[in-house]
Amino acid sequence: MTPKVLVMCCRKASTALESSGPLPEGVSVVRMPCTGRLDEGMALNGLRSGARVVLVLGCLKGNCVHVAGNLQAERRAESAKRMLADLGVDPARVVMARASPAGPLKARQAVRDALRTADELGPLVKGADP
Amino acid sequence: VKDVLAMIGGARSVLVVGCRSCAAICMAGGEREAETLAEAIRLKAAMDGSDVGVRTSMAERQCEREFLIPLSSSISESDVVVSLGCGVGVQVIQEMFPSIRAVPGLDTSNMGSPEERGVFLERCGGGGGCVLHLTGGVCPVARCSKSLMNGPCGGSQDGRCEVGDNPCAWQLIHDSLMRLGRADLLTSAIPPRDWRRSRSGGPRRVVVEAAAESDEERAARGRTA
Repeated sequence: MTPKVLVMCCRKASTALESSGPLPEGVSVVRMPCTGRLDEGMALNGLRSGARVVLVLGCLKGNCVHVAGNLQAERRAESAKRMLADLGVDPARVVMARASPAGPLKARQAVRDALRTADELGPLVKGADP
Repeated sequence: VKDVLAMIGGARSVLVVGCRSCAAICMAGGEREAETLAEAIRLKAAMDGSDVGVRTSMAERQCEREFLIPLSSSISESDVVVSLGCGVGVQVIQEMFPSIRAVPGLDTSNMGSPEERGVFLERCGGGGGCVLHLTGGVCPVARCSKSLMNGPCGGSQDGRCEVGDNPCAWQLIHDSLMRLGRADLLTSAIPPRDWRRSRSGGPRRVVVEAAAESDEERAARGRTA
C-alpha cells in the first residue's frame, strides 16, 4: 500500500525514529547517509509515487556529521516547496524537521504532525492513495 | 517551473535536455536540474491524470552541433524539447531539429562569475570594443548601472551605486588603477563607443582567422562554403 507519509531521513534521524518504537501505519522510511543527499526531484518523486506528504528528517542544527548536510537539505526542501507552489500544490506537502537519537520523541512528533497534515490535505495524485 | 509548464502545454512527449558546460557549472541546467525539472513536469501530469512522457538527456555542449547528434533519435521522438542550456542551446537545437518545438527552460540574462556558491554577478556584456586594459579590469559597460565610460555620475556615494545595491563600478576602477600605479589612465578619455559592435545591426559574427577554414581548404576537403 502507498504510504501517506514518506520520511526521507539521515542515519541519526533514522536511529531516533527506530528507538521510539514501531512506526505508525501509513509511514514509510527512506534512509540516506545524510539528508544533504536530498534534492528537489527526490521529494517531488515521493509525492508523484503517491505519498501525500514528504517529511525530510535530518539532524539537529550543528549536529550534522557532514557539517552542514542538514542545512543543505533545508535549502533544497524550501526549493521543492517553491516548485510545489508553482504547480499549484500546497507547499506543506514537503516538510523539513530535525531530530537526534537523544530525543526520539521529537522524531515521533514530526511523523505525527506529518500524518495529520497528510490527513488534512488528502491524496495528491489521483488513484495512488485509495 | 510555471513558465515551462505553460510553454509545453499539450505536449505528450517531453524531453528535458541539460547542458554539461556553462549551464551545469552555474547550477542551472546540469544533470540534477534537468532531473528535477523533469520530476516537476511528471508530478503535474500525474496530478492532472494526463499521459505525458518525460525523459531527460544531457548534451556535453548544446551550442555545438556535434554534441547534439547523439541525441537525434530521442529529440526526434519528442513533441517538445525543453533546453536547459543558455539561449544559444535552444536556438541550435531548434535549428538542427526544425520540426520539433524547442523551448527555453532557463532565462539566460548575462555572462557573470560566481561570487560565492549559487551567487553570480554579471561581468561582461559582450559589447565589443573592450576597454578593460584602460579600466583596471573592471567593465564600465556591464558593471556601471549607467554604462558610463569616463568616470562616475553624481550618484556614487561611499563607493556604492545609487541604482540598486551595487558597488560603484567607477569606484572599483579608480581603486584598481591606484593599486596598479596607473592612475594616469584615469585621465585618458575613452572615446564614444562604437555601439555597432554591440546590440545593433543583427547578430554579431566572430571569425577566428586561425581556426576558420579557407575556401581553398574547404575545396580540398570536398566541401562548399
